[in-house]
Amino acid sequence: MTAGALAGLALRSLRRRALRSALTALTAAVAVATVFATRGLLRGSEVALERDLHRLGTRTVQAVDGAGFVPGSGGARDPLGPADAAAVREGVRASGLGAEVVEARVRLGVASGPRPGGRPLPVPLVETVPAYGRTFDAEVLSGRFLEEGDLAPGAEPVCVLDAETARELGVAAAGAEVAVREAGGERRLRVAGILADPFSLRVSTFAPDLSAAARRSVHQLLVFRNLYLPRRPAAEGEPPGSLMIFAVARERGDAEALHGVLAGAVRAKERGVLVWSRGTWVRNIVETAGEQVQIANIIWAIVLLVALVMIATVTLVGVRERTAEVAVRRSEGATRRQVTLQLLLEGGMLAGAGGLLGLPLGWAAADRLSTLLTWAPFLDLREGVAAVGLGVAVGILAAALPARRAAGWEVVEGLRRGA
Amino acid sequence: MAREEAGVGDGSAAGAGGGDGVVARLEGVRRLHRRGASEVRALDGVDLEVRRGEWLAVTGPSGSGKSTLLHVLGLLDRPTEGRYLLEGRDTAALDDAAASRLRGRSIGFVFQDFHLLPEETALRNVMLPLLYAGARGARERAMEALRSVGLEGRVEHRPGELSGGEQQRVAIARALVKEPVLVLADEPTGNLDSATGARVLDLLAALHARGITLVVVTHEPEVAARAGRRVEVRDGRIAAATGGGGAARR
Repeated sequence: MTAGALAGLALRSLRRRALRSALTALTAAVAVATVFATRGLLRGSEVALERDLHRLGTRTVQAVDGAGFVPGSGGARDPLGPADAAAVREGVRASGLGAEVVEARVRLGVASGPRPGGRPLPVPLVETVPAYGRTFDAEVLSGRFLEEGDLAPGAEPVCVLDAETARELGVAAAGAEVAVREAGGERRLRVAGILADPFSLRVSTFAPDLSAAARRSVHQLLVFRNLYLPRRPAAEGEPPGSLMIFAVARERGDAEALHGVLAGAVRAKERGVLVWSRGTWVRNIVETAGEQVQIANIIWAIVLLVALVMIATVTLVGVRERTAEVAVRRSEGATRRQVTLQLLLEGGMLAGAGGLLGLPLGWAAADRLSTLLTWAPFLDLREGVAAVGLGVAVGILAAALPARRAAGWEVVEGLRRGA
Repeated sequence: MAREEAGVGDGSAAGAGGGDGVVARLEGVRRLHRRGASEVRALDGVDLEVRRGEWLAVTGPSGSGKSTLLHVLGLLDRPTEGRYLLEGRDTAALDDAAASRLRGRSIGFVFQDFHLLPEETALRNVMLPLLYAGARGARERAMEALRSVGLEGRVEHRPGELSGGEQQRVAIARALVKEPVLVLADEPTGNLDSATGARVLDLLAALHARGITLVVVTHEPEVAARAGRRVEVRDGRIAAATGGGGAARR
C-alpha cells in the first residue's frame, strides 16, 4: 500500500469523526502553543540578558585593588599606582594585542543636586578620561560623555552622571548644576551628560525570569550609580582613592590573553590585586542564569505529557468504537501493520494540524504576555518547527497504544460486534 | 465421533480448472472456543472440499458452526486442529501478515450487514482491497467492478446514501474487484426485502456463471436452492451434503 493511499484513508477517517478530531487537534494546538510561547519568552529573556550583559563590556579586562568596590576582593596588600598603569601599557604594547588602556581613580564623595531639600547622596566619584566610555557600551541619555577639552587646565568643571544618580539627585537633563563634597572641600560642577543604565533589566520590577540571578551579580559588581569627573592631578589633602586599570581588547576573543597580560603586569597574584575579565564574568552569569531555563523545560514537558495522556485517552475511546471498521479493513486484506500505521498516521496528522494551529496561538500568547514583561519574546521559526515536531511525536506516541490494541483484535469478533 | 466429509461436487459452472480442481480443502478441522471454564466446539472435525467454479451453499441452524466454517475458509479465523489448504497451500504455515495478504488477494467477502466503510464512497469502498494489496489501476478496476453490478451511476455516493440492495451490490463489487479464487457470502440476502434479495441472488448467479467460486452461508432454503451443492452443518459437523452428486460420507 502506498503512503499516499494510507494517508487518504487516515484523512477520511478523521473527517468522519470531525468533532473528536477537532478536539484532539485542539489539545495538540494548546500543547504546541505552550511550548512555543514558553520557549519564545525564555529565549527572549536570554537574548535580552545577553544583550544587556554584553553592553557591560565583554571586551574589557580590569584590574582593581579592591578598595571596597569589589566584594570579596578584600583589598590588595599593595594598592595599584601610576607605575602599574605604565607597566600594563608596556605589557599590552609588547603583547601586540593592540588594546586600549584606560585608568580611573575612584573615591567616595557626597553629591547634592538641584532638588530643594534633597538629601546629600554618597556617590562613587570616578575620575577618568573620555576613553572610559569605551570600557562599556554606554548610551548617553542627555548631553555627552567626558571629552578631551574637559581635561584641559582652566576648563569649566563638569561631571557626567549615571541615570540612577541623576534621578536621585533630581537632575533631569544635562546643564544642571550639582555640588560635590569630599575631603578636599566642595565644588560645583555642571552636568555635561547623563548616561543610560547599560543593564536595562536592572530596572525591571516584574521579572520572574532568568535575569534575576544576573541582576544580583551585576548589582554586586557594577554599580552604575557613579559620578564621572575629568581626570586631573590630585589636590592637596585629597584622598588618593583606588586606581582601576582597564584594558579594552579590539576583539572579544583577545580578552583571555589580555587577562594574562594585565595579571602579569601588575603581579596580581603576589599583591592580591583582582584582575577580571568582564567577558568571562558575563559568560558565567549567562550560564548560571541558563539553569533557570530548565524550569521552563519542565513546564512544557509537563504540558506535553498532559497532552499525550489526553490524546491517548481520546484515541483509545475512539478506537474502541472502531472494532467493526478495523475488522472490515482486516477482512479486505489490511495487515496488522497497515492498521497500526493508519492509526499512528491519524494521531500524527491530528497533532501536526494542531501544531500548525498552535504556532500562531503561541506567537499571539507570547506577544500578549510580553507586554507584562520587560523584554520581547524571541520567536524562532526553527523552534516552531521543533515544537510542531514534538507535537507530532506526542500524537504518534498517544496513538501507539490504541493502535497496538486495534491491530491485535480478532477480525471475527470485530465483524460480530459490527453486526 | 467419526469425521464427516462433504464430497466433491460437480455443480461447477466452469469446470474443475487446473490441478485437482479444488480451491479450498478442509481436513479434520476443529475450532474450539473457550468460554470461561467451558469449551465450545464451533467446528468439530470438518472435511470439506470446494471445487473451482462451484456454488456451494452452507446451511444449518443458528449456532451450528456455519459462520465459523466461513470464517475459517476466509482466513479470518484459524482451525484449532486440522488442515486448511487454499489452492493447495497449507494455510497453517502463514503468519498473520501473509494470511492478510492472501485474504486480500484471493478471497472476497459479502456480509449480511454489508460492512462498508461509511466514510468512503462506493468507489473507494471497492478500491479498498486493491489499495491494501498495493495493486495498480485500482480506480479503473473498481469502476469496472461497480459497472458489472450496475452501480456505475452511484460511484461517488457514500453507503448512507445507498439503499440496502445497492450497498450489497457495492459489497459484491468489492468482493469481485480483486478477482478472487473464492467468494464467501454470509447471509447475503438476510437484511434485504425479498425483491431486492432476489436481485442480489440473480447477481450472484450471474457471477457464478462467469466462473466465480461461491460459498454462501444461508438460513433461507430458496437461497440454498440456487446453489449447485449444499452442505448442512449441525453441531460443528457436516451433517449432510446434497446436490452436484456430492453426498455426506461417514
